[in-house]
Amino acid sequence: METVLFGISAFSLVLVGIYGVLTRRNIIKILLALNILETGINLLIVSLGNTPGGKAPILTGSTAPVTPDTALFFADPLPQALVLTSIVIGLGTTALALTLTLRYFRSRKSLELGAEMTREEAAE
Amino acid sequence: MNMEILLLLFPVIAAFVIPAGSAVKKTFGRLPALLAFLAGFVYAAWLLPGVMEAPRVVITANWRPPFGINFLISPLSLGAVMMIYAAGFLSVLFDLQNTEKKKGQYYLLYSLVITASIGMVLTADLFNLFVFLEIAGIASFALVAAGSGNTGTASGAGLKYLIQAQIAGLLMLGGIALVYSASGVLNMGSLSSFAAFNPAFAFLAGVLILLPVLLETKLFPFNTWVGGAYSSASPSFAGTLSSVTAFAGAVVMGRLVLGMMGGASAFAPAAGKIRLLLLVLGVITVLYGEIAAFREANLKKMLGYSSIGQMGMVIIGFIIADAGAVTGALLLLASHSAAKLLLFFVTGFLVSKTGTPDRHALKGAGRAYPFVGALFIVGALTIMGIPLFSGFWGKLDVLKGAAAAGGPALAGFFAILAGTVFEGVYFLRAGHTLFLEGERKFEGKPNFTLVLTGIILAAAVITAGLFPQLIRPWLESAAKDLLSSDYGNIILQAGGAL
Repeated sequence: METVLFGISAFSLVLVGIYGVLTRRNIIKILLALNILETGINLLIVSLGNTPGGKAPILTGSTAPVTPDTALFFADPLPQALVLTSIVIGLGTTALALTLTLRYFRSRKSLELGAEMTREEAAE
Repeated sequence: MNMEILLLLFPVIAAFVIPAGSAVKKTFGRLPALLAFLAGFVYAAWLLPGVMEAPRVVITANWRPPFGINFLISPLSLGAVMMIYAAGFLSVLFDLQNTEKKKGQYYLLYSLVITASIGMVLTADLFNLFVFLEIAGIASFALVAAGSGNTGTASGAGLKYLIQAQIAGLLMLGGIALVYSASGVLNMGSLSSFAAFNPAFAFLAGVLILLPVLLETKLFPFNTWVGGAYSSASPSFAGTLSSVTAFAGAVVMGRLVLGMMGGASAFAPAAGKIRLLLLVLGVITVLYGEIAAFREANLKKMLGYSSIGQMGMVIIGFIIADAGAVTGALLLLASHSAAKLLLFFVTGFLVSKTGTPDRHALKGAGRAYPFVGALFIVGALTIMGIPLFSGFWGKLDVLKGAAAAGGPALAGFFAILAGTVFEGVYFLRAGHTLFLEGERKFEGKPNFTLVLTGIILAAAVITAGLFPQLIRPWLESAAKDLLSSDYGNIILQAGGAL
């Protein structure tokens, strides 16, 4: 049940993100939408690797068969490692994007993508 | 020992050394970058004879395939590494005497673009591919935004590129998650021999994974960033975007479509549909790129759009998936990289003389600088695919393959012919402006580094055009490598999984 719920939330977040990127012209709003999209994808990865009732993935040396009661019944650790990487990449990209936005704003005095050059700028 | 991993590490080492050195001397960055690219090229060339006989697999941290991250060093990927290092080396060499002095940060980011491009062509792991695509992306956005000219325009171009690349990258990550949930592996070799997915699922996951690669190779409709990025980036980085990034992207595309999704792979139920989709996109891309280039007066943008058209032709060649056409597509790809680098160098020099990339401002520049003008013509003729230049053999082989394949590939055949006509018109028009119009005065002599890199690149395309048999053996084994149904086995055998 929770996997389905995660899946639905992830899918909605992805759609909200794509809608935002496609319909906004304000750079900050586009970046917000991108981050929503990213959260959706991260949630999707975690939910796909979800093992309901799974334990923390620590090797114990136990050789008992894998059933919900034994120590070997653990959550898949790989998707979580992937999500960590993806969060870091997202952070880096957002920081860079905000820097570029700042540069853009200083020069254009506008946050709209594709804004006209200001008079001072054109004179340069 | 996994010494081959050094292929990836030379530019990383340079990237670590550069900030320290730059604190002492501002222009220090170019030296480590130059040395690292040269060392990488020499090392790759030294490995090539052995790899031509038997491909090698690098196993990291003793995680045997299908687990862990593996690098496949095959004729194709090693050849691509050599091309990338050579293009990087020549770009830095060209910049040595450029009018605008570049700082350490530029070379740091540039080294990262080269590392990431090399990683992309070597890796056999889907998630690792995503990470390298992101590294190349982040460094490229910054380099586009730091380009010459107006800050607002350059930042806007960088942002546009960033936003499109991010959407594509995130959707690819979603595709990777789907594949992992269905198969439990991320190894491209394993996936190429995995039990088939449900057709609709395979199509969705396959297309999602291909999205950022479509963006890198500038396929329609993921190429609206190209115009702004190319006109904002410095000439040598614009050349790098069209030679290194596009080259790596196309090799990855071939690897994914023909290797991971070819044969009896997990994606087999949808492979035909994905190829048809790519063929349609390729045809549209050729026409779109060439017509946009034809309408463009800004010389840098014109070269960028012409790159789009050429990449479309390469993808059409890959999709036909016959040994001749793939060989041709690889040659076309390599000669496009060399010729575009040359054209961007020449354009960069001419633009620095006139102060504007507008074609009309360059009237008579060819007569003022006959040698530089001649270099431009050599690059243009290679792109057009005129006999005696290497582009000719590539285009001919792709056309032959398309005609022989028939069916939908015929659309590719006619698109390439039509694209070639447009190329002829806009390049000859540019040549006409350079040599036959106007009487403008130009001052100063061409840079020594422009002459040197120009001679190297022009010699490369002319030698490959006159004596195609010199590079045939490599091209043929690379094409065999791409089309081989053994792709997965090579990787899995290395891990002892078979």
